[in-house]
Amino acid sequence: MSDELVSDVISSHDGEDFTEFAASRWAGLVRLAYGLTGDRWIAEDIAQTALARAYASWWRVRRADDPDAYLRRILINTSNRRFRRHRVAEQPGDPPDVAVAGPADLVGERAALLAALRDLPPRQRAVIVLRYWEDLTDTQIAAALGCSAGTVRSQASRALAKLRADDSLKDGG
Amino acid sequence: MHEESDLRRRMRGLLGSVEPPPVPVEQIVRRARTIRLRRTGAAVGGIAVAGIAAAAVMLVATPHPAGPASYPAGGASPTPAVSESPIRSAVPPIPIPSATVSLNTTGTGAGGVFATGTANQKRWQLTVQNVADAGHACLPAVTVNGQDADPLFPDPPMLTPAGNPSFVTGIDPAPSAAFGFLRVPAAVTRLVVQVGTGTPLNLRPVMVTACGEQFRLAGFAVGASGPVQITAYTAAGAAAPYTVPSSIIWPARFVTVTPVGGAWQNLDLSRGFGTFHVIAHGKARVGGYAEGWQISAAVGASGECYLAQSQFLGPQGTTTSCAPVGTPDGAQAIVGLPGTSYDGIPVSQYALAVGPDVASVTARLSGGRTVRLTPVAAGGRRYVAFTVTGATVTRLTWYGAGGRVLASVTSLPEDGEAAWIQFKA
Repeated sequence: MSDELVSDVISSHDGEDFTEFAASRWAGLVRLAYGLTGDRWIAEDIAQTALARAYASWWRVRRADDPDAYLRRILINTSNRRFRRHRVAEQPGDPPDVAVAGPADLVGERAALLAALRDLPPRQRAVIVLRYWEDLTDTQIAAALGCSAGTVRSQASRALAKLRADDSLKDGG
Repeated sequence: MHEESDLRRRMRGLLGSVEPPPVPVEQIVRRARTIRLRRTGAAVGGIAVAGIAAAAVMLVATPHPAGPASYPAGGASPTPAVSESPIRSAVPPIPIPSATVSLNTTGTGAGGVFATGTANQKRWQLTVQNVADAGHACLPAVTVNGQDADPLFPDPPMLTPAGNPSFVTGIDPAPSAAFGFLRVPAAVTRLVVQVGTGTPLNLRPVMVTACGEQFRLAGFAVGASGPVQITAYTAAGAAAPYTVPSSIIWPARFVTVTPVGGAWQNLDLSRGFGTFHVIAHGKARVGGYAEGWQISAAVGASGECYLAQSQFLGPQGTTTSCAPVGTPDGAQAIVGLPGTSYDGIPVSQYALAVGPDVASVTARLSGGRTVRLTPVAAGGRRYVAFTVTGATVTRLTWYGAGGRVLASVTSLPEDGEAAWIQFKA
């Protein structure tokens, strides 16, 4: 059966389901992707791709014990694949493209964290974002990243050490 | 940052401040339709292996107009002892407008050059050149530094007072800049281009002769976001300013199914896909079914486009994928057409334009088999296209005259997903 055919079947039976699902998860996905990539445009693109992949196998997502975990895993895989495909061609160091409102020191704090996250290797960054933004346990993070809980702990430890040593994060805390 | 609770608080401040736009459900659904159900193949891997064995892993590539033909299992199986040739760009990055650009001169038209300048201290040049393969009808196109062509067609309808704008981003020499040109109406003597609040650019249209035709063009580069407004002047005075749609200049902002770096965005799409020519066709056998397939190619305002027609592709049976138009001496795109699976067995299709030096291309399949493909000429260009069932392509190798290995690549477009990479043999 082709994906076109599957999609047509899905759209006729489950379109409303998916629209509701996508609407309720969209903002969270973009924010998570932003944490993983540090780029607003890429975050939206990855969130779209993740939802498209979920839609292409919607029957599987719906049947999953934890659709959110399933979707999160798709998003992380999408982000990792993007990184792998881009790491040679990616242009370095564009300034963060995020509109933030608030006092100047708050804006500075966000920019500092964003820069610090972008300096972390992708897996360490993912562990930090999943632990401190998504509030996942190490076991859940391990499932999302496809590694062991021990690896999660060691990656988190290394990442936290780097963040603690980052001068730009020392004030304002 | 001393405490983990502090990190959690900062994280909420950073990511909680992001306000995404409304969920683009329609785009997501469209995108989903191009994604093959890869898991379908993976989930029935065992069955697929049995199916493959029964179906005899198959790669079919049939030059047109010769009849359908399968390549025998014992076909040529060269093992190129060459290292990976550099891929000019994997999937090109989404550009963020932040380049310093200049326009040195609007050019004279000599040698086809009609605009030059710098972008991030690197020289850029817009040229009209022939991108047809040697010995075929001339195909004039605008290129940036000899790469990524935008075909020019005679007598286009003029859609704005300033003419028809075209832009490309995500390319050398400055991926974060946009390079643009206008086909200028005959009555226009001068153009003023205003980018945001920057200094206005005064452009004089340049007459370029290529392939026996004359084209009136004006080129420039854009390095910053902001509206691009163009005012055309004629003997009668200034026309009303025309604002170029941002979706043409910075298409990556308007998320698309396929990458847009290197693909020209044209306001005039009256020759969108051009004329399709069949470049390969055949029958592929999967799990006891033999289904017909056909791949056609065309060069038009949408780029180098491939039309795949197959009963594998579901009720509608067709997909179209476009990539940047390569130049004979520059990078060419390898396009992975939207694949599918049939009874759990993956069906993948690839199409690639090849340069004049390429005598053949071999595709190595998972499992170790290798199949040799001969380029086919169509519409002034040369192509190779093929369908793979029950296996994946692990390496493509380009051969020149006398069997000389020109290049070899393993980083192919995502299997089963509409994508392309650019490669220079």
